[in-house]
Amino acid sequence: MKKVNQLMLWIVAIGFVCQSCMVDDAQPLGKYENGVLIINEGNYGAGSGSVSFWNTTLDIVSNDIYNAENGLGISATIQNAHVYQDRIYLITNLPDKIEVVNAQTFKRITTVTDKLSNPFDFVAIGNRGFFTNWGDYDISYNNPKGALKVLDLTTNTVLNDSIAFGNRVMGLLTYNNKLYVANEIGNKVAVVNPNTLAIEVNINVDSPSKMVLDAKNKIWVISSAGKLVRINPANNMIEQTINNVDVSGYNEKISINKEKNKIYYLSSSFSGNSEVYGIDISATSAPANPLIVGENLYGLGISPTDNLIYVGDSNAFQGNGKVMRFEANGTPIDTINAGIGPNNFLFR
Amino acid sequence: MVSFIKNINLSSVRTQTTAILSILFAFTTSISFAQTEKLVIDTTIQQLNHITIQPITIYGIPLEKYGVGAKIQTLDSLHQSLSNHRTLADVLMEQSSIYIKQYGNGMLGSVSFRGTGAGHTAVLWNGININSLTLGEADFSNLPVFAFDKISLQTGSASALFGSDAVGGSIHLNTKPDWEKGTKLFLQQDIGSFGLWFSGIDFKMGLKNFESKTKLYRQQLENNFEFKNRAVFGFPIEKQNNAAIFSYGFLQELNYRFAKNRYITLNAWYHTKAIEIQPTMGANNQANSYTTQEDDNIRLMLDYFDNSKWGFLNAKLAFIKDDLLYNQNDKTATKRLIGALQYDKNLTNKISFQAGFHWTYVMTDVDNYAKNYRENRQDIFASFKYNLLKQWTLSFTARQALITGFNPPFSPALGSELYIFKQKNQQLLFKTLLSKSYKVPTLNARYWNPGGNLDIRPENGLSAEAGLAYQFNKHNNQLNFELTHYQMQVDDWIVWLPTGSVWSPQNVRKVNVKGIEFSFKYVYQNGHFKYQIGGNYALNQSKNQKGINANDTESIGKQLPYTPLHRANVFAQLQYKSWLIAPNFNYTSQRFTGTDNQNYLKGFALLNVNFSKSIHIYQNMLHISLQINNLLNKEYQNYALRAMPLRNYVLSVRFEM
Repeated sequence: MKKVNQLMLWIVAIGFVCQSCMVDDAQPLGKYENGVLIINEGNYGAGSGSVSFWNTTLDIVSNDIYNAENGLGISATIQNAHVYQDRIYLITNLPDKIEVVNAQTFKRITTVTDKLSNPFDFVAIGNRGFFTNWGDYDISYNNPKGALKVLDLTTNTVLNDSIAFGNRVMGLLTYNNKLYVANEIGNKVAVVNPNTLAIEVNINVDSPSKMVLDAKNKIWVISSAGKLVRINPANNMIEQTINNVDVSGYNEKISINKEKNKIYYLSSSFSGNSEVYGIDISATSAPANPLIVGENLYGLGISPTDNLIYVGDSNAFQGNGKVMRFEANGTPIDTINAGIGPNNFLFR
Repeated sequence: MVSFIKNINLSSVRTQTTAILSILFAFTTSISFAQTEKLVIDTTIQQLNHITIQPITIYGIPLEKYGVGAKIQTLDSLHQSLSNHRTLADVLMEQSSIYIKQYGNGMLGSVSFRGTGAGHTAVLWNGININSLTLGEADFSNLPVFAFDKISLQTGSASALFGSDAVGGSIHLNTKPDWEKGTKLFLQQDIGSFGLWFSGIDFKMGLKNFESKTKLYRQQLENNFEFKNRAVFGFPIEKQNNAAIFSYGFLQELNYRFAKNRYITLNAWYHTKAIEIQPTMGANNQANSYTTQEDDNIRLMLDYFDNSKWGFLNAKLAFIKDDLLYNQNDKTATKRLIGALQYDKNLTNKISFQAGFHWTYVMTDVDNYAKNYRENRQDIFASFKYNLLKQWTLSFTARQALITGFNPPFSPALGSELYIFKQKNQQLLFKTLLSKSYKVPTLNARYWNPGGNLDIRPENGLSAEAGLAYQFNKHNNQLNFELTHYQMQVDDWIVWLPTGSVWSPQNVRKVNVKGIEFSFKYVYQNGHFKYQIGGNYALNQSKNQKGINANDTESIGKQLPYTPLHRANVFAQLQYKSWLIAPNFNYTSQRFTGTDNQNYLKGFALLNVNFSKSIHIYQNMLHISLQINNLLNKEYQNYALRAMPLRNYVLSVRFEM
């Protein structure tokens, strides 16, 4: 009997060993490619942000992959995420962090915490990362010490150089070795030389929030005042202003299709409904009808391979949210369960 | 024999002047289940009615009189006196099956009673609801045990009796006159882990018809305990930052007795608490995100009692001022003026009747409201109690509230208590209760700017319960147990939802709650040796029935977040002569953090032990005790990513003269 038990023990032990070999074998590089990374913001201040991966080829969803790969949660609110070379930069607040992870394996490389205060958006040029940093809140919940800051991507340290902006410095865009910074409360888009960190030009735009670049290399700015503004980066002039754009008025979501000739944006109005609109880059007026209507639509992304529209449903932050896919014309395809407050997508 | 309990418990009442009171309080000090107390009161009153024609002094209508069919539990007075330095949040986790969701050690404590939400428990101070008008709930970490003489819990819906908020249950915090001649002074000094200092003074002075009771307390906690930071890679051991607590308070009670059956009480209570709000683990070292909160509460009450052959009359006039300052900037202040009248009369020896009227005038001064609002709230209620048979009592209560702008639902309750058997040494009581309940939407839900919803409706509940209460009493043994099954439906449950960039409250949820509550207590006393063991268990299956919209399918049929399915505790007090050891074990099962039940916090079990020794010094008493909390040194989280302390100690010295 004792021998039988010992034998059983060995079988079980070998089983475990083999199982772990097999698990290792099943994790080749590029585990988090061929799909979409869903950035789930998390409940405000609760540290419940997470990242989900939807392998759209196999149609398999893995939630909280940072935890699965690193043994702890991100434990913060994720504002934005950006892929650069073989790394992903996750920008969080409460606590303020830039989590640097391997883009293929999602293994943590490092966590930057120094010299950050409510970082918001991130882009990279060469071996330098640039991020908007709201700065500390004052007693009236303003952030008067907004800044553009620099992360040395070799050492993963925040440099002392920065450009001071006022309250609420939002989205970032790089084009032709220039940085475009949305200074929302300052009503300006600042054009910054990334090498000298000098503002070359300030373009007057009403409440700029976020930007995309179109097929004709024009910059589209969505404004929280309800406008879409087209800037020609060749001369930094405004070429087109589209008024009456239905927006949330805060942290607008904007995305562009594969051909970069159609812009999509998301609005959530006070009535409770939220909508996704599509607008051609040659349009001169705002679209009358939305493509997608729902409640609690929160995140927006357009797949650069097949032009499918990915929409995050925050489920009013009551629990985990969902991600819904639609054809480019707004026809629903499918829905998956994601994390809390899906706000952004990184297509891999 | 003067029991240890009587000596140690400053807040319980000592020698009484009337027969009833001595019996009543003998029971309160030895048996904590009020059900027993109730039987004693009823039978004693009946007996005395036959013997004497003198009117009897009573302190008020006992909770149990019209709470027929409800389960009422009075917290053990010895445990209460050992917990003077603590708050209701700690004591309820140890002594009841209620769950307190605490946002860190000593931080905001939100109650979940019978699987309901934080605003679904009425907290009554001497009969007046003291839940915050703006938030609609009480912070149980801001209710110091030292401030109360008696703490009772009434499980289940009781809006008919107590008005708004009594959906899951109600908590009664009372002070009461002693009518003792002479002076008594009580001094307490505690010192404990993480910079805990607690000081308490209780001074009582009594003349024949006049009594003054004064309490002063002060609590200071640095709260810089060590914890394993689960939000930081490598889980480093860190000291908790920004979690200090400083609070103090002052209570003055003046009682004047016009006659044996008529007296007036003036109660004044000032309480203040300043805290650094404990950050999430991840933000522990991030000074730019640290926040603070200051609370100031003033509660004043003039209470008149008259008990004559014409019936029992109680008139109250109260003023409550709640000030909250968040981050030294955001002010939330409310004032309310309350007038209440309650009349109770035993019409025959079988039928009694009560009726009452409550009036509240509310004034707001809140930074986040567009203006200062004023509103009137009125409640009328009436109860009948009928002893249908010797063994069977029925009670019916109904209440209607009227509030500026909208009307809460009519709330009736029907209770029944039937003795299955009632013998000399033991009895078994079958209880049933059917009731409707409601919660008036908070002022924030209506007036928060932006987002307040003026069309919001009161939440309303319908509840049915049935239970068995058993009592055994022979020689030196006393045993009680009570088993209750209940079902409740709460509709129009309010949830704050984002609409655009603004959050706004909506009547969205419908929740079905089903559960079982079990409690027991066994007391044995023989000579110098006395021990008691007790426990509570609750199973609360609190399931959401309705998604917030068509796309919210995952929350349907799921347990509400931060509502544990199981809560249990077991406690014992072993006394030998002047020595006491009192262990307490309490367990909270896993809690889901979202409505879809995908993520959860692990359950936790805590063992706390108190060792005490009492010493006679001439006519005075000195008590020394050592409290060890979290003896098993368990790492746990009550609220996600808020650290809680490992094993910690409190040394307490109490002196009575």
